[in-house]
Amino acid sequence: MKRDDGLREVGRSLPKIDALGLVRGTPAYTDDLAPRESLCVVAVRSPHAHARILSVDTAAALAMPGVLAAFTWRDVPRVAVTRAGQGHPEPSPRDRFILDEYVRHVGDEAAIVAAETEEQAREAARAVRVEYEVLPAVLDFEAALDNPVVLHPEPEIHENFPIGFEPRRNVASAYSMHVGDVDAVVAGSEVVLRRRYYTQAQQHVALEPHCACTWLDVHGRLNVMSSTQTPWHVRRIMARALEREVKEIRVVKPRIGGGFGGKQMLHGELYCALATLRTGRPAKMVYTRREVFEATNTRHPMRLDVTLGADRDGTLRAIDLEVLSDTGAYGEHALTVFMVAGAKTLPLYNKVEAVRFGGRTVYTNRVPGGAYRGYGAIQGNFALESALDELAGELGLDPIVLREKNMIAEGETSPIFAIMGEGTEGVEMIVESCKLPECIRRGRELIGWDAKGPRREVAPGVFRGLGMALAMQGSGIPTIDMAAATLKLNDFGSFNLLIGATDLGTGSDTILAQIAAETLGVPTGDIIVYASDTDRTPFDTGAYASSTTYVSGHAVREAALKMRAEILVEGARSLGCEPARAAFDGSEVRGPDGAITLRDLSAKLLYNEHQKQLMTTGSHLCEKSPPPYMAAFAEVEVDAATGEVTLVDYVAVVDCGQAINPNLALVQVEGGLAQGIGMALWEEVVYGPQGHLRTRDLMSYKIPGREDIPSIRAELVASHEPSGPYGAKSVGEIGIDTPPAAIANAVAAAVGARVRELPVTPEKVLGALPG
Amino acid sequence: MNISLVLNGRRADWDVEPGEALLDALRRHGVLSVKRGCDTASCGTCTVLLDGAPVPSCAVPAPRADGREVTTVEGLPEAAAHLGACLAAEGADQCGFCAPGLVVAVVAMSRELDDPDDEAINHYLAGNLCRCGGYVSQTRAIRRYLQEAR
Amino acid sequence: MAVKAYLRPKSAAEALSLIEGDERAALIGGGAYLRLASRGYETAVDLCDAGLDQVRVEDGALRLGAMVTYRRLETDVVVRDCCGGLLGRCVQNIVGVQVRNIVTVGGTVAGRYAFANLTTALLALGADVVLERGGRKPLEHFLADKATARDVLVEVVVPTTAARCAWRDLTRVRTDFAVLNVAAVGDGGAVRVAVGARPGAARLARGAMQAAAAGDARGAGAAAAAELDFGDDLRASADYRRRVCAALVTRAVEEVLA
Ligand SMILES: Cc1cc2nc3c(=O)[nH]c(=O)nc-3n(C[C@H](O)[C@H](O)[C@H](O)COP(=O)(O)OP(=O)(O)OC[C@H]3O[C@@H](n4cnc5c(N)ncnc54)[C@H](O)[C@@H]3O)c2cc1C
Ligand code: FES
Ligand code: FES
Repeated sequence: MKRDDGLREVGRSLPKIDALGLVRGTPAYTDDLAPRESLCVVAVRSPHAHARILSVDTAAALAMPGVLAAFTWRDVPRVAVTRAGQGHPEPSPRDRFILDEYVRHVGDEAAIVAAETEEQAREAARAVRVEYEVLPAVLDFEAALDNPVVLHPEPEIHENFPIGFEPRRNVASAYSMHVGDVDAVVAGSEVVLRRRYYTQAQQHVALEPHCACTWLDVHGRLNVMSSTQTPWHVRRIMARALEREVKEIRVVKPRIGGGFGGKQMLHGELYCALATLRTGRPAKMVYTRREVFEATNTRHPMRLDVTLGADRDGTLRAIDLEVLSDTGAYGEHALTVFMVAGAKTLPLYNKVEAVRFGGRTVYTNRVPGGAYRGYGAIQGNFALESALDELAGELGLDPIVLREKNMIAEGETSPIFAIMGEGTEGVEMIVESCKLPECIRRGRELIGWDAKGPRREVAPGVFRGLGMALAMQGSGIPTIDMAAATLKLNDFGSFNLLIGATDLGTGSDTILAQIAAETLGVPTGDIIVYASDTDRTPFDTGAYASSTTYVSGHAVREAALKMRAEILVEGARSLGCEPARAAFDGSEVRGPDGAITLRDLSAKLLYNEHQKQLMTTGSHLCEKSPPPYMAAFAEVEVDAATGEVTLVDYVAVVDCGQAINPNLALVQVEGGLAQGIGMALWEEVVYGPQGHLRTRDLMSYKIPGREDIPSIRAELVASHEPSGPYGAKSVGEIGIDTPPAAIANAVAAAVGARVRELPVTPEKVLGALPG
Repeated sequence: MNISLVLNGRRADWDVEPGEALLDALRRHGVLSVKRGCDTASCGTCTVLLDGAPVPSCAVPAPRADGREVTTVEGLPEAAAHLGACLAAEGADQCGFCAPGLVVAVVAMSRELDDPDDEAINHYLAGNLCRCGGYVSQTRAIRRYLQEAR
Repeated sequence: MAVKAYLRPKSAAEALSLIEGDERAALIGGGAYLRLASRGYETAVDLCDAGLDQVRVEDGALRLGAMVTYRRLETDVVVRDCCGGLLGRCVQNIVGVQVRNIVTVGGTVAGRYAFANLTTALLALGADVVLERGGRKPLEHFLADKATARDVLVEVVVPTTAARCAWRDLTRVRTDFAVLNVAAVGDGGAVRVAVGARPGAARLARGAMQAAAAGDARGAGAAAAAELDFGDDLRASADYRRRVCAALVTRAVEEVLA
């Protein structure tokens, strides 16, 4: 099929290559595939928010039937690591150990046991006697800085490069930057708006709980299968923590039941490894849902102080964003998430004369913060896009007009691109694709912005309101994210595509196959994908930072271009002509006097003539991070007597560059929106006064069900990013960013209740109602 | 204790623990399509048909299955293939962890309701959570499946 | 304590004999809380074969066996035709059909769950419970009893004279536990109003019932908010519940009076 754009495989909504297998329930996830004879590994978890372990008595547990091993902090190597699956060296502080003398949140690991069955292991875990010296806990992140209670006094912990790490002050990281003189510009502005916003801890709730298993292969190497987003980072961090060589470890990622950033940290891998290395037996650790809540990670809660300086005509002159971020007990992704709160929001309004961003991430005795889709941008977006609406209100301007007047446009840049990267400096970048005007035009039409007006009463005491927000994200981390892909030509014309990239259910295996097929000129069905295996596929930093399509996609394209060239050379040799006189169209190599099909050529190459294996590798370093953009519009209905908010409609129009697979891109947007809507209205990790989680199962922590979000309408606008593979940018995260602000803005429009603290609960709406 | 059930049309004689949930018994016996998403009857990933009615197998005592029929997605290959194709065509399938339980619930729905509209579909399937998609593509796929299956 | 035995008695009487005097035996109705509570007992006495899943109308009353599931309340035509369909309506958003296919009338009432929508509705309807040993008594009394008595709830008897029935609840996500639930039932000149999930257990709001009988819906809302106790929990504060109680009771009574 030849299309206008000349593309054949890219841009088609092909079904996901693993779709049918998964729907049929084919064993595919870690717990399905773990060796059946695996020992079950269970952690003994702290019942205290902060305590020192005085003693651990494992004797009773070890005497129980089926129990093979138990570990305390004294039994494991003491090497400071971070669990954050990030590049090397990690921008997160190395502030934890496999097991430690201190426990720093309820649910923190105090000891590990391994037994033949899950039931035996759980019984054994209950039988481990831990004596704690309970310490005062820091539960309020606004009181963490310089608190007399210090979470991390241990001497071995360190930062890998300057990230503002001051553990004695409970500071995991700090950062500040400014362009221009913000105070002076604010002082000279006609209107100044100062507002404080809070965002809450949100849990990823991937439906597959975290799971890992380990075994020793015939060569005695440690094999790890894990529901991870970052196999290579897991391998590297495991090697460090276990004091082994990287080469002794292999990490494989099978299918994963959702990640969303929650599997960008190490969880059970190290504990399974302890059991396997001690006993020689395969071992697995399947987190219970409660453990997922208590002992993995959440989105970092933040306090965001925004100051906007503007003139009466709506010219935005200065933005100041001061952030305090709560990283919980460990500094996983502390600095980088915090920086993204500025780096992926502030450039949206690039015309300001002055901009400042800064603040700290602090330690508290709570579940650690970690990577979560949106990664700071959603927090920053809520504050900035809420504040802009409040400013529009003060100025008497349509919120769309205010944004259109100040937003970034194609061909422009922002100094922030160069100043702020993730943990390091960024890179300069001219925006080559930005279809925000089209996104806004289409979105306002779909939601009926002009026809409906911002507010109307639909029944006595029941009001509908419209709100909107813009967003940007990035596509990979420039100069850090790197991906590689290998293509191997098989006899009779199919290809193996070996990629390090990590499909979390997003469909990236399919998308990368489409890119390979497009470049080679073959049908996607001829590409056999094998991915995410540190022994058998090339390297990839992993699935995060919206990098896979943009970065891994390039690597695949490069491998395919090289493969094409080799096929041409071999085809020409077989036809007896100069390569320059031959052409390869995906099905055959044609020379001046004849042609040979790929099928025949590939068979000949392996069996008959000039036998050789064609195998090419492409490798790509992310050099810039072109933002995808989005304009989103929410329509809510608010019951003024109860404060209940019903989401009537949500429209999102996205510029993600060329969509490699439009259906899969749209569902990424829809899924992101659903999680963002959950954060906007319902989801919240709640603690009791002693630091115990009150939301530790899916009865108390509610994610949206299908009746809560009956109408999500996502569209993509035509766009082409010159630096991307086939014009693609990214789409994995942007969807999540807008709902908190757009919905809060819609509620404010409907009933005048401005909620600045997420989630926007009926109780807060009722409390914020004017008069 | 010993129980005897009809699993996907075939008799199965199992030794189960008196306190075990059906979900655990199924997975222990290699029926791996049944997933554990929550263990508190809240997510729908462990949905099976018990004498034709969709139930959360994590909340059904395994001994209760004695003498009864249990159907998992392995026993519904045609519906799985067909609904799977519809989901794939809409791009509605993502990580797939919710999919087997969803297929089972959709099959039950198609037997119970005729010609449900989107609202009825969303209501019937409210117990099947999905964290990856925003449900709308799933609903489109399910509508298509119901139309084609009729 | 792990479950060591699993029994399926053939009648309520047999079930009673199995749990009487055995503190380690527990009845299983739907068993939906099985995994949450499985460490609390050694012998599981499953009522699924005890013949308690009957639905019938007798002497002007709807008799619901203890093992009748929520799903039956929604789909059974006999139940739907009674009490303006209130019984089906009050449970229709609970989790999903899977859960509603297993959870039972008896487990809910016997469990005395304060959040239970069904209990609020049954209280407003003036239902009685029938216990294998304790015999028949008003639900209101049963709820006030200590939960310790070892008995088997056999059925719930619901008067079908109610002319108009209204249901109001407020949840965060649709399928969640209620922040507050309200049932109002008009029967002759009288109106009965019950409010549950405050988060305390369902209570009749007698002041509200008087105001409602006098045709004053707003007064009923105000009275309920004033006379009932409200508390804080994960889902909402006492203050918020009080405000919402006034609004929901007003609306429910308006619907009954209309
Ligand atoms: C995930 C989830 C969410 C829920 N959400 C809601 C909600 O939002 N709103 C709501 O109203 N309800 C909700 N429920 C509760 C549900 O509706 C039932 O009330 C609850 O599960 C108990 O019903 P069951 O039949 O499963 O009882 P079981 O768990 O079997 O029993 C409950 C108790 O009653 C005893 N018992 C059972 N039957 C009898 C009998 N015949 N005689 C004497 N004692 C007996 C048992 O020993 C046990 O102590 C939810 C339940 C779950 C699992
Ligand atoms: S695992 Fe059974 S409903 Fe979630
Ligand atoms: S596809 Fe991942 S949970 Fe539904």
